[in-house]
Amino acid sequence: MNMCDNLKFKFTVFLVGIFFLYAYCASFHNIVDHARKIYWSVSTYQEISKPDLGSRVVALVKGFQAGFNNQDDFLYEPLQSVLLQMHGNLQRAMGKTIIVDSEEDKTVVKLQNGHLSFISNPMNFTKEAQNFIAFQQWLEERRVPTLFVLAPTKICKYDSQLPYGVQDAQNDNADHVLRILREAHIEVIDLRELYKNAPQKHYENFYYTDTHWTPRYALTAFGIIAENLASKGIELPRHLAEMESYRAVYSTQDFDGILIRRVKGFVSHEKDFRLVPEFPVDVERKQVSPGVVSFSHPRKNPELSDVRLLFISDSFGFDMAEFFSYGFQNVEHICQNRNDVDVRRQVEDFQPDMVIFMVNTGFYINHFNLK
Amino acid sequence: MVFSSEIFLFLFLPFTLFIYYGILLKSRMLQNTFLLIMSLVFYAYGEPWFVFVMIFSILWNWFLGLLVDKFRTRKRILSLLIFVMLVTNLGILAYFKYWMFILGNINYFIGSAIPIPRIMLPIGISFFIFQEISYVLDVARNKGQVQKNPLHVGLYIALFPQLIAGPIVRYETIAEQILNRKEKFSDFSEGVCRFIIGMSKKMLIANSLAQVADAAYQMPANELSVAMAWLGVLAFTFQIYFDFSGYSDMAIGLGRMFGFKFLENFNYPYISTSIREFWRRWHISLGSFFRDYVYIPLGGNQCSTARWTLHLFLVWALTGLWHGADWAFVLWGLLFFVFIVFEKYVRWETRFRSPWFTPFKYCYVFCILIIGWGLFKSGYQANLGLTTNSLALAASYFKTMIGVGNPKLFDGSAYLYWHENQFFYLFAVLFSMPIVPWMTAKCEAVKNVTGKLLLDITYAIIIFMLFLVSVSYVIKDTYNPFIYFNF
Repeated sequence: MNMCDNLKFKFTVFLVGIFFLYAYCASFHNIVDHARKIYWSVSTYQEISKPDLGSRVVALVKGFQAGFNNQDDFLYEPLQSVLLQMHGNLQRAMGKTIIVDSEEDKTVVKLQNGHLSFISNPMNFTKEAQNFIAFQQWLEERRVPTLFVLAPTKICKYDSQLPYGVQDAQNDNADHVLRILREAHIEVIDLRELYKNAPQKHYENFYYTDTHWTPRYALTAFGIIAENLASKGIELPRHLAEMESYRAVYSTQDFDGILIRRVKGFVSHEKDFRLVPEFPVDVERKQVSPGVVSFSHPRKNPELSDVRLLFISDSFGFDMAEFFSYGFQNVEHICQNRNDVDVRRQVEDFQPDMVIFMVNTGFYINHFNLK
Repeated sequence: MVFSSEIFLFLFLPFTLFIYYGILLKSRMLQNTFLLIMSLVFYAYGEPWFVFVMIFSILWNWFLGLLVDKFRTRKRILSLLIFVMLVTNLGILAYFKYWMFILGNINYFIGSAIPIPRIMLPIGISFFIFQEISYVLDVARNKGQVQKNPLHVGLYIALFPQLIAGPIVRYETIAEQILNRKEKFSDFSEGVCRFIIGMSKKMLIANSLAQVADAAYQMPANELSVAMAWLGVLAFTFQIYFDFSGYSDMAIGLGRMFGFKFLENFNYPYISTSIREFWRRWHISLGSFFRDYVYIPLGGNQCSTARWTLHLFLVWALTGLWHGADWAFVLWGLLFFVFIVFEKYVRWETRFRSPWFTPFKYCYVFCILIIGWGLFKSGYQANLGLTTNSLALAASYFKTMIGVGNPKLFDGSAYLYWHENQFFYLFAVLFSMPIVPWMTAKCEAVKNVTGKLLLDITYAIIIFMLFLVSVSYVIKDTYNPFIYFNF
């Protein structure tokens, strides 16, 4: 067999070889770059103006360790991004509406209106609901009132927009949980009812490429909660829930939502934004511990409520916590996004007058350490 | 560790190749030792404890191999040694793979309540046990030289390309290659291409169709429509072919990269016109293993018709059982027994030679295969713990397929899964046929140098694109079922 007989195989190996060479060089560069930064930060931290050889080696090893730890995957991130983009484009070219993932709950569906969403199978959350009831009773023994708020998830209860044949049980699962809570006489605000008669507004106020609601939806929801609190005698300044009190500041970069990160190329990017208050704000924000943030006003403001509010939420609560911080003198926010916070202990430390617990229909109580 | 994973593609394989060719090129002994170590790491990555079961059985068979070689001329001792080898090897297999099944059946048939322990199945146990049997038997039959060095036996049995999903490499095939193989760049590059083709078959076609098959078999019987049932069983029919043949391609390609030449395991089985032909094209290494180590030692066809039928019955029942500990697998095996005997009696392959019969023959084979894969998938669901009664699942599934019990003809799920996977069905049908060899032959017939060069570049670009797309599926972490843990 001469050289030319296997030319097609050799060409292929050449192309694959270039790919690997690029991938490794890029990854190595990434690691070295990270290591270099760590090296200098270690050297600076140790205040060694002229580090000896031993310190240099230690710092370099630490740097490389951190560099490798920083490599979540084997491929250099921009290269991964290109491959994911290619994957998404291919799915779009084939007219697919679902991108199935190895993790069942990470399967992404393109809704009829173009929004991306996760879907869920029917699940029984009775035990989790009972855990919450036990937690509420524990709070009641301490005379702390509780309010359970259900935030909507992308798939609207009243207009699912699911492609023909696709099924999702998030709203049914949530209905089951709410039924149990209501039977236990727990006060519940179901925010899915907010746009019951105008589902298109529900979708307009969600990011296309992310599971989360936009700050606009959160502000409207805040208004509903504020009304409920007013009925309990907890008055918040009225302007806090008005859209005119804020201006939207858009990010200059494309928004890599949770969903688009998984299915690049499937839809186009959009811009993230936040609502910045137009009224004067004097809030001190402090990280109490991982997953726990406190908001306090250093100066006493008679317009604000004196009620010490403990707000427990999933990631839907980030904007909401900000809105609460404008209306309450003291707020503590437990965000169970990625942290395992002992909630009861936090209650004992903070001594709240009121607890508001908010989850969305796709993220459940079982993620909270309520025992 | 599976071949279609990031860790294998970007860490394990490049590292192994780099050390093998970059550092150990001069010493075959070091290369073999290194390959064995990496093969054990490969296995231990997913099965940290079971690797010791494998090491123990390797050492035991190496020891038996030495004894067999020593007492080769003393028939009685040789027979005793082979008996001991079969009892121990099949005993290990029986314990890990069939003990729960045996106890479950005892409880069912005599109404006892013997507690059934939960026994984890070491991945690929059926493959490596069969290779160990092959080693000792081939030494006994003088078809391969005995290995004095246990590392060489270990390498033959544990070599990572074929360790978890075959092909079942016979000792006589690679006995010579363990010490005297020649690594050539032409073989290496061909191996890379073969690996990419296998990975594409697995990642693009098999995994996509697996979603349909799994969805259909997991639907409650009263929700399954006729269309969805057909889509599901067709999807599984193609999934298992592209998954298994894809793995075999990857194994053969990886072997090539390290200088080993394994025999082919699949040869377009779905173009068969008889069941006998199908089994000459499907999982060739398993078929030939049963033929050479079970069927022929039993007496083959050199006996009475009744005896021959009994031999076939045993071989096919065992073939079914090898695939999994469930009655559905046994029935699956016996289905082929029935049709092979039928074909033999009606002289199927010689009587209906006219081309007019060919479409009818294709339909005949495909219908039997669909029934077979329907049964097989039910057994597979039982092994996954997704059903407690595989035969009831198969019966209910087949009923829906033919519309018994008034199922819906068509529903949203059928629409969705067809809409989402229509391209993959199309590719599956196309690439089940020998289109690629046909095109390759056409290309090779081109004599013009420029034309040939262009074709070679086109081929390289297509394979490279397949590589990129397959890697994008790996990176995306798409649905990637592993169906060999039963085997």
